[in-house]
Amino acid sequence: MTTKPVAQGATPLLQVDDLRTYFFTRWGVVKSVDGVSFSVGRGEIFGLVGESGCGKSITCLSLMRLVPQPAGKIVGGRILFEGRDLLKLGESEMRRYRGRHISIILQDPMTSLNPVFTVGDQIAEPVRLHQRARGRDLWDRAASALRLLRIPDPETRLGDYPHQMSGGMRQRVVGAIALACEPHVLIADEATTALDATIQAQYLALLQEVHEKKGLSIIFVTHDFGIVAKMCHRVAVMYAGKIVEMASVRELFDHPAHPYTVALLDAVPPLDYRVERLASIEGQPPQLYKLPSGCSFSPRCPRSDSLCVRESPPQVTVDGGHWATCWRLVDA
Amino acid sequence: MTAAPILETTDLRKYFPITKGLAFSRVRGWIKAVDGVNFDISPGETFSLVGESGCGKTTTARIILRLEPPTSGAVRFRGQDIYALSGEELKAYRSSVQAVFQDPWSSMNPRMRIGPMVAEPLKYSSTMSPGDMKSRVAELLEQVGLEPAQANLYPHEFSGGQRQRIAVARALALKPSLVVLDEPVSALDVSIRAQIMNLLKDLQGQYGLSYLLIAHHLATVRYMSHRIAVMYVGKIVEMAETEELFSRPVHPYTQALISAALPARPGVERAEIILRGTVPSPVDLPPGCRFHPRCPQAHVRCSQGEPELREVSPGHYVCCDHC
Ligand SMILES: Nc1ncnc2c1ncn2[C@@H]1O[C@H](COP(=O)(O)OP(=O)(O)OP(=O)(O)O)[C@@H](O)[C@H]1O
Ligand SMILES: Nc1ncnc2c1ncn2[C@@H]1O[C@H](COP(=O)(O)OP(=O)(O)OP(=O)(O)O)[C@@H](O)[C@H]1O
Ligand code: SF4
Ligand SMILES: [Mg+2]
Ligand SMILES: [Mg+2]
Repeated sequence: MTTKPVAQGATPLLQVDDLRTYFFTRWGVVKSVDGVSFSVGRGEIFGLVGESGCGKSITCLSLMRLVPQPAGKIVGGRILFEGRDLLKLGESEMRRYRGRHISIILQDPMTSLNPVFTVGDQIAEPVRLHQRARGRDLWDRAASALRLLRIPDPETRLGDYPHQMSGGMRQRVVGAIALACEPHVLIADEATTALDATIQAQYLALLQEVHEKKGLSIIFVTHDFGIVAKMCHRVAVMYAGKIVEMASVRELFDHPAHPYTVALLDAVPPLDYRVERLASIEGQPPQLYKLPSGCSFSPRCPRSDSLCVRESPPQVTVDGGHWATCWRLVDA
Repeated sequence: MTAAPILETTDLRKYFPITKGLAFSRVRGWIKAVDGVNFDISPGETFSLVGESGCGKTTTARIILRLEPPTSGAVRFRGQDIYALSGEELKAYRSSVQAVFQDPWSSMNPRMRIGPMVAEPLKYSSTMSPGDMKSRVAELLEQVGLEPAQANLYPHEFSGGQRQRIAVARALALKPSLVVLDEPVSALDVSIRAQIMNLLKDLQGQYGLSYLLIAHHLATVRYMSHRIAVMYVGKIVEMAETEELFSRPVHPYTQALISAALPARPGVERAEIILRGTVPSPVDLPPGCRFHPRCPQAHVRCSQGEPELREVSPGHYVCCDHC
């Protein structure tokens, strides 16, 4: 196994405190990120999992200060990068952090690639900007970035427009752009979903290598528990805009405490044998502009009782760094 | 399955020109995206295509959807060549075959609300009253786990996974007989993924739908498929029933692919077969077997003749002369 405990330094590289990002829509206030706190150590690989629509991508975009405007707004909290609050920086200062210190691989490759420029231009741009490379050198660096991500024939491929590439190639181009400036923190939002198992394994091995050699910290947002199991040190589970459980990876798989986490793990299809029917969680995820009272998971939770419906659950420590917000934790 | 296939491809090829220079430029070579693909899909069957990123799966799907004419070869739907259809027959084909794509964002009009978007295919079948259409849209949204009230929202107001559910709802609107699913669930969390896969299976049971599934997540493929074809740089290298393929993969590429799948829990060790060498480009294919430069079992003869698919046991086909 590649996962190993990571020494938590005195100050984390990135610390997020009580982050709140809301969307002000005609339906009401959508609380996409509602009091999220976590920290990522230097050289740590942190996982973020949870229901589709629970606010993972908006959390990531908030860290980059790229929340969709004008509806979206970071309304509270702090994002400390090496002790400096990114939310207090001016836009031009923030621009220097993006790409160079914190990079993001966006979930939808087509939204971050410009259809009218070749992929070569798009990979070269940040390198030119932040590392002042020029001409032939610039082009060579762009080609080697593609080669690292196992794109065949990279020199020719630099001349392709995004639509001429397959889905997985586009996704790797976005990855190459994010890695090009050797950031300290990489946010990978569903960065390998369009890749087959062998290319994904090589991609993950590459990230692992950069992580080990350069101390890259990574935030993995993923639905794939295989990636969490293989790559991450710690993991947070989100539900309806909040982190509901946080633990080391081993703890989370061995002793999930929150009923939502337990249900989520039960829905993972097995690879090594056939099942007739997969478990899924009953009911629908809540609308983020009209959350139920009490615990947001209570309408779907098999353990919920009248207290759960009435009052928000507290954050309960399970063991060391393992906690969950729930009135009736599942005992492992 | 012995019924006549609903869909059949014969020697399908798609070569994209590589050009240099300005508009009327010289063709420098060809990207052989799809290079002689044969398969068929039975009614009520889920047939899956898996394989390396860029091996031609989406291109194959696009040809079947009439979005991209093949360079050569044919696609037959219920016995008819789909590129020879016109008028009413073409219209019927377009409503019987639907698709859900990899990247839901790119197939959505950002200025259109979800309700009309899901209803759009229903307009083909003009028999529906606006009231019926509205309730059908509500029903479809509920089937994929959204609320009917969300019909009034725009695509950007949904998360990636929610948009994918909308795409599924739209594809199901006309009760098609074949649905092409290109990475339909990879953007969804495991619980909703399970919900959608169960839903797709239920609809298959009820209406005898056929699916052409393209997916990278092998556990998903195992759960959904009846038969699987493994592609490598434009060609099918192995094809078998699901359990046969997972329990007895024969082609060295299939073996490597399955070995690289991540176990869903920590602490489970799997012996991964590492493929060395570079991924061949579909422009300059290696001579002989196109997998031989990376094949851990390659033989001198593998770089000479190009192998053909052969049946190694009933229904199990492999494109390799040495395994
Ligand atoms: N521009 C917007 N306007 C209004 N609501 C939005 C907007 N963008 C996102 N949201 C809402 O914010 C919530 C969080 O979205 P986000 O994209 O962070 O989800 P996610 O956890 O990344 O989900 P997925 O796993 O499906 O990608 C969603 O419920 C979504 O509907
Ligand atoms: N319009 C196009 N013009 C030129 N080349 C193209 C075009 N569309 C696809 N290709 C090329 O054809 C090959 C096959 O692409 P395709 O999208 O079918 O792959 P895929 O198997 O779906 O891959 P993925 O798993 O990454 O989605 C790739 O090399 C791709 O770059
Ligand atoms: S607080 Fe109650 S409803 Fe919420 S997860 Fe825990 S047991 Fe379930
Ligand atoms: Mg997301
Ligand atoms: Mg594809």
